[in-house]
Amino acid sequence: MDDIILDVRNLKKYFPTPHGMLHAVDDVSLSICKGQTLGLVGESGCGKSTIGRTILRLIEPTSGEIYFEGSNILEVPKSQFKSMRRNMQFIFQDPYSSINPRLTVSQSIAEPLIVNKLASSKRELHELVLHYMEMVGLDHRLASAYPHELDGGRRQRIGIARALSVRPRFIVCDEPVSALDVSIQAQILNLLQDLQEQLDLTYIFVTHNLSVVKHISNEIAVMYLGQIVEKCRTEELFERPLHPYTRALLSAILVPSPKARNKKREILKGEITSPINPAPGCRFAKRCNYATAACAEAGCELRDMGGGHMTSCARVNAGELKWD
Amino acid sequence: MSERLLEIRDLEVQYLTMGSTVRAVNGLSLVLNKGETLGVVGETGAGKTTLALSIMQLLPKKIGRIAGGSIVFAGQSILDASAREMRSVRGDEIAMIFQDPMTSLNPVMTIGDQVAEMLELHSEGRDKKEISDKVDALLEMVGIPAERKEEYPHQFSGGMRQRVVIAIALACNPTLLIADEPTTALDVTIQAQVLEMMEDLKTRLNTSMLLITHDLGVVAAMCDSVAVMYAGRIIEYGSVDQIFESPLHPYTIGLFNAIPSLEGKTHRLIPIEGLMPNPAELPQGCSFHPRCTKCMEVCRHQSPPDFDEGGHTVACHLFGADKEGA
Amino acid sequence: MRRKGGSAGNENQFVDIWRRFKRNKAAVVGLVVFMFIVLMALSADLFFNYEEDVIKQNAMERFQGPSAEHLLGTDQYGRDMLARIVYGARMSLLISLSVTVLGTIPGLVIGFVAGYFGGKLDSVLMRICDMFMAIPALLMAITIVAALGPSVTNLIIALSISGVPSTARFTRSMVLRLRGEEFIESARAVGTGDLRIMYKHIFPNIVSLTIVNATLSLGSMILASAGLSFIGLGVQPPTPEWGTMLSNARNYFTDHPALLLLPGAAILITVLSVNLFGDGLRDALDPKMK
Repeated sequence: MDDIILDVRNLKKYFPTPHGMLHAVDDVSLSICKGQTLGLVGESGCGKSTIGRTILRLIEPTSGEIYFEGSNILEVPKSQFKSMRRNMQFIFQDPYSSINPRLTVSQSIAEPLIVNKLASSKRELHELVLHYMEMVGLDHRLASAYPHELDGGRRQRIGIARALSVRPRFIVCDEPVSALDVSIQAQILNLLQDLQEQLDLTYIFVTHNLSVVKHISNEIAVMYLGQIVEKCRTEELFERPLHPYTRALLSAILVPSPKARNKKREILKGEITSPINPAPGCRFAKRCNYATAACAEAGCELRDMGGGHMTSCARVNAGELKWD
Repeated sequence: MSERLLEIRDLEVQYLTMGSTVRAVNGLSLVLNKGETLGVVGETGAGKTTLALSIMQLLPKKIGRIAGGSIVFAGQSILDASAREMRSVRGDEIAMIFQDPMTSLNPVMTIGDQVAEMLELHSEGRDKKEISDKVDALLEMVGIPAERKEEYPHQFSGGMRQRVVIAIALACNPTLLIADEPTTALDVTIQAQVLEMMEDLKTRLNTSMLLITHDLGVVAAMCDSVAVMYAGRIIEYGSVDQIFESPLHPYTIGLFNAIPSLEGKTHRLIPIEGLMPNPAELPQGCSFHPRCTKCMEVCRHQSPPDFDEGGHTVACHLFGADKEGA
Repeated sequence: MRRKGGSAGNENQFVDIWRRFKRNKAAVVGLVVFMFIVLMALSADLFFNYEEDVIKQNAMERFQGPSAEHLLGTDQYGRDMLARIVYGARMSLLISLSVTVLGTIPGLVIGFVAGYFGGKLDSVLMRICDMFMAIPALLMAITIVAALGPSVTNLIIALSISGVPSTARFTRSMVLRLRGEEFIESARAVGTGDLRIMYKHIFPNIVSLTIVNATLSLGSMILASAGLSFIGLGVQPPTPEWGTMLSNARNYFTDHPALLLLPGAAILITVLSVNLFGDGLRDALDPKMK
C-alpha cells in the first residue's frame, strides 16, 4: 500500500572496548513508509541513538544494508554521500550542545544553505534564513541573537530550522524534547507534527518517553540491548503488549493521576546488563519475571504474531506465555 | 490536626548578579506536616532548587540572599540559626538528595566510607564496629549488598548510585528529607525501583519529604499534597486529589494539557504559549498573565493573593472575582 | 535592524567582554601599565638619542645618582640608566612578542591537525612533542643558542621552538574536546566539510583561550629572554636588554645596587602587568561569567 522510504536490513554496529566488543546495535531490521513516524523506544544504552546516527552515516555501521528510496546508501562512497545526506536530516537531543555558541541564530541557519549551495545570492540566503525562521516559529528579531540568550525551546527550533533548510524528506529526531520543560515540549511536538503534514516528512523518533512516542508515532519499535524486541502499530502496542520487557516498561510509566497509584506495578529485577560480548539467547532473560532456563539459550527472532505485530520473546512466540 | 514540621512564610530570595537583582523566590509560603510528602512541582527557573537551598541554608554565599520571610523548622527559626547550629541540623535533621547521582558522590572514596563519614559527622562516641554495622544495615536497607561497600562509585550504575545517595541521606534518621529531582536522571524501569524503595523507607522511618520535581507522574505516585510553583511563588496548593482531579490555576491546567496522554489518542497537544518570565524582569501583576489564556485587566496590575477553597489554595484573580460575586 | 551576519552581534560581544574585563581592577591596572611600557618603548626615540645616550660611554659620568640630566642616574660606563631601560623595553618586548607569535602559530597548527584528524598522525605528532617536552624548555633554548651562536635572532628562534610543544598539546586538548561536541556532529549532518568545520566551528571556539594562553606566556618569555641574556646567550652588550643589564651590574651590586635593582624592577613590573592582564582577559572571555 504505502511506499517504503527507508529499509534497514541486518544493521550491526559494534564498538571495540578494552573489555570486548560492545554490541550497540545487533542485527536490527526495520522499514518506514513515506509520511509515517516510527518511534524507537528504549532505555539508555539500548542502541536507539546509534541506529539513528548510522542511518545518516554519522557513524559507520559494522555491517548491514540501509536502503533509502531504493538505493543502498552504504555502497555510496563517503565523498559522494554528502549530496545524498541532504535528503536525510538529524535533529539532536541537546539544544544546548548541538548549536555552536559562537554563531548567531541566522549564521547557524545559514550554514546548511551555504555548504549545500542552496542560495544563489546573499539576498536569497538572507530571505531563506528568514523563511525557515518563520517556519519554525522564531521571531525575525532573533536573527542576530546568540544561542546563550535563548531558552532550550527556541534553541531546539534553531536545530529544526537547520535540518529543514536542506529540504530533506526524512528526519531522525533524537530525543528532541527530552531536555525541555513540558510546556515547551508540547510546543515543539506540535511544530514537528505540523511540519510533517506540511512538508510530507518521514520521521524516526528516538525517545525514552513512552507518552511522547505514543503521541507522535504511527508505529513503535521497542529496543533492548541493541535489539528490537517488539514492533507493531502504536495503538496495538499500548493495548496488547506482548514482550515481557514492553509490559514492564509500560507498567513503569508514572501516569499523572493519583488513581493510578493503586495500579499493580511490575517492577523489574536488577538493572540493564552490559552489551559487551553478550551471551547468546534472550538478552532480557536475566531481568525477566517470566524467564525459564531455556530462555538464556534459545535464540530469539522477531516473529509476526499476527497483523504485523512482531515480538522476539521465545515463550510468547511458542504460545507458552499468554496475557489476558 | 497533624503536627507542623516545616513552615515557610513569605519567603523572598534574591540573587545579586552584575547590576541586576534576580528574584528567584517571591513571597513563597508553604507548610509541611510531620510524616507527609509534599510535592513541589514547577518547570525550569520556577525557583524549586532555590527553595531547597534556602531551607538547607546552602545558598551561594555573597550572591544569594534571603530578603524576607521566615522558615521555621520543628519550631525553630532556621534563618536565625548560627552557621554552627545549621551544620548539625543539616544531615542530622534535614537531609538532601540531589538530582545527579553521577556527581553527588565523591569518586575517590568507597561508598562504604561515604556512608560512614555521614555517621561519624553526626554521632560522636560510637566505635568503629558500631559504625561499620550501621553502614552495612543502611546499604542493605536501600538494596545494596553490604559486600559491595568497598567499591567505588564508578563501579555502580546510575540507579545503584542514587540508592547510595539515599542511604547517606537517611543515615542519621533525618526528620525531613528534601529530594531534588531524585529520579530524573534514571531510566523508567530503574525509576520505578527507586521510587518504590523510597516509598517503602518513608513509611518505615516516618520521614517527612519535600519532593521537588517537574514530573507530574512522580508526584501522583508519591505525594500527599502538591504545591505548584511558578516564577518563585506557589500558585496553587492542595491535596494530590484536589490538584489532579480539579486543578484551578490556569497554569496548572495548562501543565496537564501539555502532557501527551497515555489514554486515548489526542491529535494535538495544547501547549502553554510563551516562555517562563525572566526572574530579573518579572512582569507586573500576576507573573503568569502574559501567558495566560484567561488574563483579565486586573491581572496586569495586581498580584493575586492566595484564595483558600477548603484547603485548596490558588493565587489567581479568577477565583477572587468569583467570591466577590457570590 | 535585521542585519545579516554577526556584525551587530560581534560588537555586542566585544562590549560584553570589555564590561566583564573592567570589573577586574587588577587586570585594568595591568593593562594600563603594560600599555604605558609599550608606548614608552615605541616613543623612545622622541626622548633619547640611541647613539648618544644609550651606547656612547662617558668615563666622566660613571655611577652618578639621579639628577635633572639623568633621572635615574648613570651606569658603570656613564650611560643614562633611564634611556637604557627604555630601549631595553624595546628589546625585551620585541623578543617576547615575536617568540610568543612564532611559538604559538606552529603549535596551534600542529595541535589542530593532531586533535582534529586523530589516529596515527596524532600519535606521531604527540610523541614528537613529548620528546621535546622531556627537555626543560629553558635548557633546550640554551642548547639551541649554544649551537647557533648567541644573537637576538637565534634567541628568538630558540625560545620559539621551545614554546611549540606545549602550545600544540594545549590546542590539541581543546580541539579534542570540541570535536566531541554535538554541534560539530550537527554541522556534519547538514553536510559541512572538514575545512569549514575547522575554521568556522572549532577555531572561533579556541581562539580566545589561545590568546589568553599566549598573553600569559608573554610574561614568561620576557623572563626567559632576560635569563638567557643574563648568562650571555642572548642579547650582546652594548645593546641594552634588561637581562644583560642585570648581568653586567652584578659586579657593582654592593656599591651601586640601583644598577641591578632598576632593570630588575622593570622586568618585575612588566611581567606582573602582563600576567594580571592575561588573568583578567581569561575571565572576561568566558561568557559564563555574566
